Amino acid sequence: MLRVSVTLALVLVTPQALAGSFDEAGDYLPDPTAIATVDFGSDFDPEEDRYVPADLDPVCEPVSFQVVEGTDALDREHYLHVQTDALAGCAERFLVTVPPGKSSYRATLWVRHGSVDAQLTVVYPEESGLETLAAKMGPTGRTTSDGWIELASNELPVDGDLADAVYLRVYDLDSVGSDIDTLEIIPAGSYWEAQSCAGVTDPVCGEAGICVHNRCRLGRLYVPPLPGDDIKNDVVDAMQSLIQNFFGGRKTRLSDLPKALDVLESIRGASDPWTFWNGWARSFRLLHDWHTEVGGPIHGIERRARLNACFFEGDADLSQHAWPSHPQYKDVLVSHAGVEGTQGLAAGDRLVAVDGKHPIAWALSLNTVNWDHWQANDDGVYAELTERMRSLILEFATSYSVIHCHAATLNCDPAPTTYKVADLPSGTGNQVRCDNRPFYHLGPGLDPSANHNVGFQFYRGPVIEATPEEAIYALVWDTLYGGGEPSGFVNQNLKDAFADFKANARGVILDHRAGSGGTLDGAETATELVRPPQLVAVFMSPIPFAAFDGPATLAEGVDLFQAFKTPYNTMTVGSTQYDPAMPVAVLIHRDGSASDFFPFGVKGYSDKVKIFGPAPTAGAFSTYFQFRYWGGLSWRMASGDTISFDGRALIGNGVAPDIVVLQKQSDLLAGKDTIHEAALAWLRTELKP
Amino acid sequence: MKYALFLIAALAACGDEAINPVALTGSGGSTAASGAGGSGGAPVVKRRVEQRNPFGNVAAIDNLLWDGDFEWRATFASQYGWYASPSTQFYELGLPPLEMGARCRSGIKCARLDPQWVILGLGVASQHSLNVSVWAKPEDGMCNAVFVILLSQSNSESAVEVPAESDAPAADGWCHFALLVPARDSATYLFVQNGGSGQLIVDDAVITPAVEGQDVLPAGLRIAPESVAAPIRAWARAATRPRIEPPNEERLRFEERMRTRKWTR
Repeated sequence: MLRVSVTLALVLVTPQALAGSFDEAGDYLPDPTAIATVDFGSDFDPEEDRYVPADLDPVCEPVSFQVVEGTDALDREHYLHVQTDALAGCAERFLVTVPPGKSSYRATLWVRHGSVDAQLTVVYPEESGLETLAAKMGPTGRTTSDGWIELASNELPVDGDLADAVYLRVYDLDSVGSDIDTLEIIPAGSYWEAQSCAGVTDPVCGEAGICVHNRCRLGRLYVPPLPGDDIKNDVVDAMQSLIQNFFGGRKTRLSDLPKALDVLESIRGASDPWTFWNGWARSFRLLHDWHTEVGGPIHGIERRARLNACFFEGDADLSQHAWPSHPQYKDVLVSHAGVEGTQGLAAGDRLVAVDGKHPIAWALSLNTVNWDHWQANDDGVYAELTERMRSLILEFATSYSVIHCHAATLNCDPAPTTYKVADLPSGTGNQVRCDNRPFYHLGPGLDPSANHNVGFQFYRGPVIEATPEEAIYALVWDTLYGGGEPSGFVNQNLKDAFADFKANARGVILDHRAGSGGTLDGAETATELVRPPQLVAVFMSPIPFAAFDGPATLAEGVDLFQAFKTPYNTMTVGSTQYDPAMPVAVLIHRDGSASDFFPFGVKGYSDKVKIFGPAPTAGAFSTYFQFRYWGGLSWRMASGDTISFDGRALIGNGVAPDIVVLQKQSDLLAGKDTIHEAALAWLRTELKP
Repeated sequence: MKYALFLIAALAACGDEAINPVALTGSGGSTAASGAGGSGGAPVVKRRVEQRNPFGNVAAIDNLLWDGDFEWRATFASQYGWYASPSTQFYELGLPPLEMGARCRSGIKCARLDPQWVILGLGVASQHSLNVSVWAKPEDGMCNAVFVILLSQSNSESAVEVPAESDAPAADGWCHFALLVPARDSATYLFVQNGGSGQLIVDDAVITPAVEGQDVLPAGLRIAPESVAAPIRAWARAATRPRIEPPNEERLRFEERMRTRKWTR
């Protein structure tokens, strides 16, 4: 019977995932080639075999496993019940002994009940120069009738001479605990040594590696095992069908979906796990959607250095002589910098190139490897990529070039200075938040200027540049998460602010320059100051029909708007209590989702409302769903579109500013917030009597 | 509870009227390490070994449900392809409780419902009639205590009860619910309620467009009353309105811990 089991397993399982087998009675027989087997039996010492990192958080010190004696163990004797507080970041670790020398191993583990995140880890002493490596584990598909599931890792290179410890790390991801049994370490693959590298284009990492944070990373360690040849095509078919049926709205389906499908097609021939899973992740990046993303362990590699400053798009009016603007992409300026670890960057400096390319062109080129890719749906909008520029540079760049400018003299260097990322000093401290606000205007103590962490807070009051007679007020906030509660934190804050403004202000600035979305009721509430009620859009989101490409014409769109107009899927803006005399300037910069809906809801209604900003919002007019696979992989995918009252399919079409204003480099040096200043100037011409 | 009782009566009256059951597609080969067992000194067989596809029933490539096999079930997500609630009061928008391994029908993951729990699978409509199929394994062995309804976002489209193929489970304990239903003009939802007294495993839910020549609808589709369907629709609408939720407190704690700790250790 043993032979039957193994033979059939070969049909479906990735060959390298095979490990031990079962005898006629169903008892587990460890792989005879294993160099270490931990069955949690009499040889297991709960104290000696538990690994506790030196920097373990004390909250995780209590033992959170117990040895269980039971005939339901794989070998009828013992298994381990693990119940860690994963939400507190606590895991359990169990040592294995590996022989001396450089080798490579695959781990297998059986789990039962609950849900776990498991990996094989090797740690080295700091003086070795070798970094900790870990291989995530995923299911092979082998299961037993009494509930055991086999997990396996990809091959992990280990230098047995230098390793401090090799261990299994297990997070229990639910509240009931999980059983684990029979960890086996099996020689597989060949040793691979990480080395330093100079950026993602450095060929030194080879085909299997990728240069991240100036270190070659072995791609297969960050992804689950490769689906076996017998199921790979079916898996790809299912992945294609999923995005074909459910993804996107009109623009993204017509323009972007085909590219993603092509990439998925290409991974049918993948022969290694990294090529397969990175291709899968890349297909999501090519969907070109603000909500859509893939997460994985490769995204979580700790940064080595700091670049404690924020970039945004602007107008480098003081440095055109040294470096003319790019014909397609806007200039990239330093908005503000933190206190330490700035690497000499200061507000007004200009990032002119990364690895010899315009920074945005360079960031776009990373979509083959960058799991942290974040891009607006609107083709011409790069605020998201620019906001993440500092992280991308640290992760992937070899060098970057900056034209430094000087507030004291209000001028810039005649030529850029180029820095090698590998030469940046080590430093992993916090970095200032990026919110596209170079300055605040509510007065000392009334804003988060120390760290730019607007987050989920609201700040409001008279702006310091206006006189008491002008009575120009501002609201600074980034969240629209109303949560469906009319009197909840967000909606009530908005309502309180608007009541205050109606009572005391003659002009209002709604500063939403890092609008991170929320819920539609929040977006609706945010429009209540400026207009009477109107139904402006219907949501066909999530997508209602399989593979629906949306309306091909405005007339079709109007038909859909009428057909789908129901009380539960519409956006109704405004309020009967709005203030028709109040001039309102809405400031945008990097805004998406509900933060698309809000400016959409106010745009064009009245001459008393103007939107100021450098570029359109993201155009992410949809909802999304979230999913997770093993090995730390997760994904989020947008679905559907929004149809405006006049028949437009909105996704991919961000809300354009009424007044396009780019932050000027000269203003940054002079301490001026160009967009705010423009709004202020306009408000002064429109003040409420 | 009133709803559960209503459906018990309704489904009991249904008899074996299941029409056009969807052909069962396996989840991959399976086998056992078991011997015949029991005689001639053969060892007592403790367990069988099966090979599952960890991606689930990928043969159903045109599945109109987001994640009919639960294989992509999220850990913390607030917006996933299924929602669960402890009752038809629909107070919650939680994730379906997770079951794993051989208790599932296909793949590695499935949903486990305590008595009275309900789940709602989110899907899309098609221009064709729909083959609806879902498997449930009631601990109490009563297929007719499981209530399955296919419904749509639109109030104007009737909610249809999907009957079990038989009152009693097959030898493996599974009940199959299947039906061919008319084409829909709005988003499609699959609702499952455990009206029994024990736990219920739900897995391998598939909604596929009918193929050419299959568009012969059964007579006498059982329509779920609007009093039953309306709250489910409302629940679904609340779940699917566009939103970006801030991470909840637990997730924030988890992510902060992960950020401040070397992930590899």
